Amino acid sequence: MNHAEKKKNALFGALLWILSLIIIYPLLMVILASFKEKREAGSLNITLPRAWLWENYLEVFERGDILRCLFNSVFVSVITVIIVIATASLLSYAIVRRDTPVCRLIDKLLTFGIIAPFAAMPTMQLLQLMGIYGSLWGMIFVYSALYLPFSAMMITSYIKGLPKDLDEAAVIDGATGMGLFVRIIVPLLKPIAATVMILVFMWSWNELQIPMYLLKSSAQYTLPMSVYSFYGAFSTSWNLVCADVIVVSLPVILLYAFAQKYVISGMTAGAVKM
Amino acid sequence: MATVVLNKIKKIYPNAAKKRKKKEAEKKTNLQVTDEGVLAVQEFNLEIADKEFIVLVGPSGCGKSTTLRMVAGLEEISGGDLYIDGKRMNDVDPKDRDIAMVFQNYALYPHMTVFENMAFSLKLKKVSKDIIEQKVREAAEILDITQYLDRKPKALSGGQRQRVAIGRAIVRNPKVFLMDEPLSNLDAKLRNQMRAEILKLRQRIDTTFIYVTHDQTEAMTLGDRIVIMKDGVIQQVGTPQEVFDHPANLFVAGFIGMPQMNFFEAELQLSEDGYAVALGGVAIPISAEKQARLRQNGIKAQPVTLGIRPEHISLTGDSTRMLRGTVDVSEMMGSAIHLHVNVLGRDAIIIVPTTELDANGHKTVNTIGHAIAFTFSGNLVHLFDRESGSNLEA
Repeated sequence: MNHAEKKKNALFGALLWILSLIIIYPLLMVILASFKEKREAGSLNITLPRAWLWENYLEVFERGDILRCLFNSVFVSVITVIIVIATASLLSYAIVRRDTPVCRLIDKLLTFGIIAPFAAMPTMQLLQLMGIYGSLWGMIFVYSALYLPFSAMMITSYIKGLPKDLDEAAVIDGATGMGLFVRIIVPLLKPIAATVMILVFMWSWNELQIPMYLLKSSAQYTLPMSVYSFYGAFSTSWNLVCADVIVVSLPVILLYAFAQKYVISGMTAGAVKM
Repeated sequence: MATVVLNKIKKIYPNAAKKRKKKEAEKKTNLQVTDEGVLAVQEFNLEIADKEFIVLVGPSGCGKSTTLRMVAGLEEISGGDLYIDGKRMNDVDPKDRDIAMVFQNYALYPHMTVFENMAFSLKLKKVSKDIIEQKVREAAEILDITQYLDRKPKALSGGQRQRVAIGRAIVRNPKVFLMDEPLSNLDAKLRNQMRAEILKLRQRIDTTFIYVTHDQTEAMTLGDRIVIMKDGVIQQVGTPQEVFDHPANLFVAGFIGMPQMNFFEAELQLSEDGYAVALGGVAIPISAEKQARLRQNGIKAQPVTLGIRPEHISLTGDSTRMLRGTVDVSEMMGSAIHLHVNVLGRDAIIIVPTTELDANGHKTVNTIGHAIAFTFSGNLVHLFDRESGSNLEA
């Protein structure tokens, strides 16, 4: 590497550091504020706290009813993931392997499913009609419907990469229909299922707006909604808000840290021959 | 072990559903297109004897794989009847046809070990564990893959994978063994080796084989009989020797044999002495045996396409019957030299065995631009109708 190149790299490095400040600054602010006392945290800066108040976290757990929220979040996210993966893989398999005009049409319609935004009023009315408005199950169905198209598109492109000969070999060996799907195709979907699982889990876990529309009582609140216990029209405890945000984000951060290789490989599946 | 009868088998890809395929077909090959759709296989008639090794061979898009897939039950039969062991199989599920198939890309289940791959079909049939174990081990021994039984397919080489794929077929003890270009994914050396293995295998498991390939060497070395196809139509069925010695038409003549047969536009002459073929001002009398056949067919003097195999051309002979040309390219193959010679404005290939050349001959023959004279015997020529391309002796 010559001198000019070194200089160029150093410049790039500096630029990247400046850009990453955009992310680091608020993150650091939230972490620091979560340990501060209420008035000190209200100034929203990145000074070190005068005293490290671990009690803030304790208070969040008590006042925010974190454990109940955690249970709701886990319940909603896990069931959503299961429904989405099961339906999306079956749908994708049918779309890819049955080359009929209807299947090709459904394949195209999936794109509209991704483009169409969440419409609160009709959704609420529909759930009311079904008698599940205000329940966690109602929300699970809404999430599943919202995340199904994207998940199906990812799985579809993955299945397109699986040689059809495998299905045919299995047919000759005597496997049929659902047996073939479960014994041969499902085990091969593991990598893409992992990707879809993580993405759907993150999306349903982090969702804040939809539960606000669809849930009635605070007993059903999911984790991100617990922040409202500390954020009100008359007073806001920024220290507790920040502590709550960190508690809420931790599971997803941990999950992503462990599983990011699946997310990346799943996203790029089919892009290059592997 | 079973006979297989294909009676007027047809495959039509309907127009509406397969517009794309139709367009491709029109572009790539000369498949016939009717109101119903694209005719991928037409009127396929063949009787395969018990324990016979049949090879379907032809260029890509000729319908050989489609035919095999119809026998396997992976492709619907649009017309005609398929009988295996005397039973009509048109509407029988693949698993109930008592067949096994080896695919070009092995199609091994990646998440299963070699053992599980081979045991899969037996497991589905609910065969007892002991028998599965015994059958898989037997097949593994035949194919020399016992040491890989616990491995996953990705840990195997191409050749080993193909053995596993064959093993998976053997354990089923099928009546008919179907192979769809099983050696195409292997490199040249391994292909030769596996070809010999398949021959050995055939002796051991002695069943009916239908083998699809585009490689004429495989077809010639493996098949009891060869079926040569083009554009969905059978061109000729016969033993390797028959199709080599008596090709039914220009296509078969050009397809079978390496390097390809040389073709010249010539005149078939008929005089008191009998038939002779005239080419570049040289008349070469035709052998008595061929004369008889031509006479029997009532062939008159006419313009013909003359075919002569490169290995049947000689650089020595009667000086009055020599054709002249210039060497364009010379390829040293070790035991022989392949000369590309420009004769009468066309490229012809002549195989000269190196044993026939002395040191001086080597030099002169190899010189590009060198003028050479050659001839061939009248009992080795093939005469084809210039318009229809069919063999005049057939």
